Amino acid sequence: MTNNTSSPVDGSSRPLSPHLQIWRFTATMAASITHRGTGVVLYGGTTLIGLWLVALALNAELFSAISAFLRSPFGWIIIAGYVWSLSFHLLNGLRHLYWDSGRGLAPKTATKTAWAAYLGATLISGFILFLAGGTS
Amino acid sequence: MSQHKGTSTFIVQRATAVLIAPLAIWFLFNVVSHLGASHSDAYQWVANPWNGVPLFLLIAIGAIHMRIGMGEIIADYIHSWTGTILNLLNWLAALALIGASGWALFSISFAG
Repeated sequence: MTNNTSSPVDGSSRPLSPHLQIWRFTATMAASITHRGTGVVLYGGTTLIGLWLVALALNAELFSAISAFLRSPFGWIIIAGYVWSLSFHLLNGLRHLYWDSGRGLAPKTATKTAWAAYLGATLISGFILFLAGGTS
Repeated sequence: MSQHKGTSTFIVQRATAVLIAPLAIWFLFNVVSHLGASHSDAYQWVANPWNGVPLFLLIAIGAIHMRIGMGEIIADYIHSWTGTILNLLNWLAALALIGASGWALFSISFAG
Protein backbone atom coordinates (compact mmCIF):
# COMPACT_ATOMS: atom_id res chain seq x y z
CA MET A 1 0.00 0.00 0.00
CA THR A 2 2.93 2.36 0.44
CA ASN A 3 3.60 3.20 -3.20
CA ASN A 4 3.87 6.81 -4.34
CA THR A 5 0.45 7.15 -5.88
CA SER A 6 -2.11 6.31 -3.21
CA SER A 7 -4.41 3.58 -2.10
CA PRO A 8 -7.37 3.04 -4.42
CA VAL A 9 -9.66 2.62 -1.41
CA ASP A 10 -10.26 6.29 -0.65
CA GLY A 11 -10.75 7.08 -4.34
CA SER A 12 -8.16 9.89 -4.42
CA SER A 13 -4.91 9.80 -6.34
CA ARG A 14 -3.05 12.70 -4.78
CA PRO A 15 0.74 12.48 -5.15
CA LEU A 16 3.00 12.27 -2.11
CA SER A 17 5.59 14.96 -1.33
CA PRO A 18 8.92 14.78 -3.20
CA HIS A 19 11.72 12.92 -1.49
CA LEU A 20 12.81 14.51 1.78
CA GLN A 21 16.53 14.36 0.90
CA ILE A 22 16.34 16.92 -1.90
CA TRP A 23 15.53 19.76 0.53
CA ARG A 24 18.25 22.06 1.85
CA PHE A 25 18.06 22.46 5.62
CA THR A 26 16.71 25.89 6.69
CA ALA A 27 15.56 27.40 10.01
CA THR A 28 12.04 27.94 8.63
CA MET A 29 11.83 24.26 7.65
CA ALA A 30 13.09 23.20 11.09
CA ALA A 31 10.49 25.44 12.77
CA SER A 32 7.74 23.93 10.63
CA ILE A 33 8.78 20.38 11.56
CA THR A 34 9.18 21.38 15.23
CA HIS A 35 5.70 22.96 15.19
CA ARG A 36 4.22 19.63 14.12
CA GLY A 37 6.42 17.67 16.53
CA THR A 38 5.55 19.87 19.52
CA GLY A 39 1.88 19.62 18.48
CA VAL A 40 2.10 15.84 18.86
CA VAL A 41 3.90 16.23 22.23
CA LEU A 42 1.12 18.57 23.41
CA TYR A 43 -1.53 16.07 22.25
CA GLY A 44 -0.02 13.48 24.58
CA GLY A 45 0.86 15.95 27.33
CA THR A 46 -2.59 17.56 27.45
CA THR A 47 -4.12 14.08 27.70
CA LEU A 48 -1.84 13.52 30.72
CA ILE A 49 -3.00 16.85 32.23
CA GLY A 50 -6.58 15.57 31.80
CA LEU A 51 -5.62 12.31 33.55
CA TRP A 52 -3.99 14.36 36.35
CA LEU A 53 -7.33 16.15 36.82
CA VAL A 54 -9.35 12.90 36.71
CA ALA A 55 -7.00 11.28 39.25
CA LEU A 56 -7.42 14.32 41.51
CA ALA A 57 -11.20 13.85 41.43
CA LEU A 58 -11.14 10.05 41.71
CA ASN A 59 -8.66 8.88 44.28
CA ALA A 60 -6.22 10.56 46.69
CA GLU A 61 -3.78 7.61 46.71
CA LEU A 62 -3.58 7.44 42.93
CA PHE A 63 -3.06 11.21 42.79
CA SER A 64 -0.29 11.06 45.41
CA ALA A 65 1.49 8.38 43.38
CA ILE A 66 1.27 10.57 40.24
CA SER A 67 2.54 13.59 42.20
CA ALA A 68 5.48 11.60 43.55
CA PHE A 69 6.33 10.54 39.98
CA LEU A 70 6.10 14.15 38.76
CA ARG A 71 8.58 15.21 41.47
CA SER A 72 11.08 12.53 40.33
CA PRO A 73 13.82 13.38 37.79
CA PHE A 74 11.96 11.45 35.06
CA GLY A 75 8.76 13.35 35.88
CA TRP A 76 10.69 16.61 35.65
CA ILE A 77 11.91 15.67 32.16
CA ILE A 78 8.28 15.09 31.05
CA ILE A 79 7.16 18.43 32.55
CA ALA A 80 10.17 20.23 31.00
CA GLY A 81 9.42 18.68 27.59
CA TYR A 82 5.78 19.74 27.84
CA VAL A 83 6.68 23.28 28.95
CA TRP A 84 9.24 23.77 26.16
CA SER A 85 6.80 22.32 23.59
CA LEU A 86 3.97 24.58 24.79
CA SER A 87 6.28 27.64 24.72
CA PHE A 88 7.51 26.86 21.21
CA HIS A 89 4.08 25.97 19.81
CA LEU A 90 2.68 29.19 21.33
CA LEU A 91 5.40 31.43 19.85
CA ASN A 92 5.42 29.67 16.48
CA GLY A 93 1.60 29.77 16.50
CA LEU A 94 1.82 33.56 16.82
CA ARG A 95 4.10 33.45 13.75
CA HIS A 96 1.38 31.54 11.90
CA LEU A 97 -1.31 34.05 12.94
CA TYR A 98 0.98 36.91 11.80
CA TRP A 99 1.45 35.18 8.43
CA ASP A 100 -2.34 34.81 8.14
CA SER A 101 -2.52 38.62 8.16
CA GLY A 102 -0.34 38.53 5.02
CA ARG A 103 2.78 39.88 6.74
CA GLY A 104 6.15 38.45 7.79
CA LEU A 105 6.39 36.09 4.83
CA ALA A 106 9.64 37.41 3.28
CA PRO A 107 12.35 34.71 3.58
CA LYS A 108 14.69 36.91 5.67
CA THR A 109 11.90 37.89 8.09
CA ALA A 110 10.58 34.33 8.34
CA THR A 111 14.11 33.03 9.07
CA LYS A 112 14.61 35.62 11.83
CA THR A 113 11.25 34.84 13.46
CA ALA A 114 11.99 31.09 13.23
CA TRP A 115 15.19 31.59 15.24
CA ALA A 116 13.28 33.91 17.61
CA ALA A 117 10.73 31.15 18.26
CA TYR A 118 13.51 28.71 19.28
CA LEU A 119 15.33 31.29 21.42
CA GLY A 120 12.11 32.64 22.98
CA ALA A 121 10.78 29.14 23.78
CA THR A 122 14.06 28.21 25.47
CA LEU A 123 14.16 31.42 27.53
CA ILE A 124 10.47 31.24 28.53
CA SER A 125 10.54 27.54 29.45
CA GLY A 126 13.82 27.99 31.36
CA PHE A 127 12.22 30.82 33.34
CA ILE A 128 9.00 28.86 34.02
CA LEU A 129 10.89 25.74 35.15
CA PHE A 130 13.12 27.88 37.35
CA LEU A 131 10.02 29.42 38.97
CA ALA A 132 8.30 26.03 39.38
CA GLY A 133 11.45 24.49 40.84
CA GLY A 134 11.67 27.28 43.38
CA THR A 135 8.20 26.71 44.84
CA SER A 136 7.99 22.94 45.21
CA MET B 1 -9.70 16.31 6.71
CA SER B 2 -13.14 15.83 5.35
CA GLN B 3 -13.82 17.21 1.91
CA HIS B 4 -15.64 20.57 1.49
CA LYS B 5 -14.90 21.58 5.08
CA GLY B 6 -11.48 23.16 4.54
CA THR B 7 -12.49 26.76 5.25
CA SER B 8 -14.46 26.10 8.43
CA THR B 9 -11.69 23.83 9.74
CA PHE B 10 -9.12 26.54 8.94
CA ILE B 11 -11.17 29.15 10.82
CA VAL B 12 -11.83 26.90 13.85
CA GLN B 13 -8.10 26.10 14.12
CA ARG B 14 -7.24 29.85 14.16
CA ALA B 15 -10.09 30.77 16.52
CA THR B 16 -9.12 28.05 19.02
CA ALA B 17 -5.45 29.14 18.71
CA VAL B 18 -6.40 32.71 19.70
CA LEU B 19 -8.40 31.41 22.69
CA ILE B 20 -5.66 29.02 23.80
CA ALA B 21 -2.83 31.59 23.66
CA PRO B 22 -3.75 33.56 26.84
CA LEU B 23 -4.81 30.34 28.62
CA ALA B 24 -1.44 28.78 27.74
CA ILE B 25 0.43 31.76 29.22
CA TRP B 26 -1.73 31.46 32.37
CA PHE B 27 -1.02 27.69 32.44
CA LEU B 28 2.74 28.23 32.25
CA PHE B 29 2.78 30.75 35.11
CA ASN B 30 0.10 29.27 37.39
CA VAL B 31 -0.32 25.55 36.74
CA VAL B 32 3.16 24.15 36.07
CA SER B 33 4.20 24.90 39.67
CA HIS B 34 1.22 22.81 40.91
CA LEU B 35 2.24 19.65 39.06
CA GLY B 36 3.61 17.49 41.86
CA ALA B 37 1.53 19.22 44.56
CA SER B 38 -0.07 17.28 47.42
CA HIS B 39 -3.65 16.02 46.97
CA SER B 40 -5.21 18.53 49.40
CA ASP B 41 -3.32 21.51 47.92
CA ALA B 42 -4.18 20.57 44.32
CA TYR B 43 -7.80 19.80 45.27
CA GLN B 44 -8.32 23.17 46.94
CA TRP B 45 -6.62 24.92 44.05
CA VAL B 46 -8.83 23.29 41.36
CA ALA B 47 -11.98 23.75 43.51
CA ASN B 48 -11.49 27.52 43.21
CA PRO B 49 -13.47 28.40 40.03
CA TRP B 50 -10.88 31.02 39.03
CA ASN B 51 -8.41 28.12 38.64
CA GLY B 52 -10.63 25.14 37.74
CA VAL B 53 -12.64 26.84 34.97
CA PRO B 54 -9.63 28.19 33.01
CA LEU B 55 -7.90 24.81 33.37
CA PHE B 56 -10.98 23.04 31.96
CA LEU B 57 -11.30 25.63 29.14
CA LEU B 58 -7.63 25.13 28.21
CA ILE B 59 -8.08 21.33 28.06
CA ALA B 60 -11.43 21.50 26.20
CA ILE B 61 -10.49 24.16 23.63
CA GLY B 62 -7.09 22.48 23.37
CA ALA B 63 -8.84 19.18 22.58
CA ILE B 64 -10.66 20.78 19.61
CA HIS B 65 -7.38 22.31 18.37
CA MET B 66 -5.53 19.00 18.88
CA ARG B 67 -8.14 17.03 16.97
CA ILE B 68 -7.79 19.28 13.92
CA GLY B 69 -3.97 19.25 14.08
CA MET B 70 -3.79 15.47 14.41
CA GLY B 71 -6.40 15.19 11.62
CA GLU B 72 -4.03 17.14 9.33
CA ILE B 73 -1.16 14.82 10.21
CA ILE B 74 -3.32 11.75 9.50
CA ALA B 75 -4.44 13.25 6.16
CA ASP B 76 -0.79 13.97 5.24
CA TYR B 77 0.73 10.59 6.01
CA ILE B 78 -1.98 7.92 6.03
CA HIS B 79 -3.59 7.36 2.63
CA SER B 80 -5.30 4.05 3.28
CA TRP B 81 -8.41 2.91 5.15
CA THR B 82 -6.38 3.00 8.40
CA GLY B 83 -6.75 6.78 8.17
CA THR B 84 -10.51 6.46 8.70
CA ILE B 85 -9.97 4.41 11.85
CA LEU B 86 -7.32 6.84 13.12
CA ASN B 87 -9.67 9.78 12.49
CA LEU B 88 -12.38 8.00 14.49
CA LEU B 89 -9.92 7.34 17.35
CA ASN B 90 -8.78 10.96 17.12
CA TRP B 91 -12.38 12.18 17.54
CA LEU B 92 -12.99 9.74 20.42
CA ALA B 93 -9.78 10.85 22.19
CA ALA B 94 -10.80 14.51 21.95
CA LEU B 95 -14.36 13.84 23.18
CA ALA B 96 -13.10 11.57 25.98
CA LEU B 97 -10.64 14.26 27.11
CA ILE B 98 -13.37 16.94 27.19
CA GLY B 99 -15.88 14.63 28.92
CA ALA B 100 -13.45 13.24 31.50
CA SER B 101 -11.94 16.59 32.49
CA GLY B 102 -15.42 18.19 32.58
CA TRP B 103 -16.62 15.44 34.90
CA ALA B 104 -13.48 15.80 37.07
CA LEU B 105 -13.93 19.57 37.40
CA PHE B 106 -17.65 19.14 38.22
CA SER B 107 -16.87 16.44 40.77
CA ILE B 108 -14.14 18.51 42.48
CA SER B 109 -16.14 21.77 42.42
CA PHE B 110 -19.34 20.34 43.90
CA ALA B 111 -17.92 17.63 46.16
CA GLY B 112 -19.96 17.40 49.34
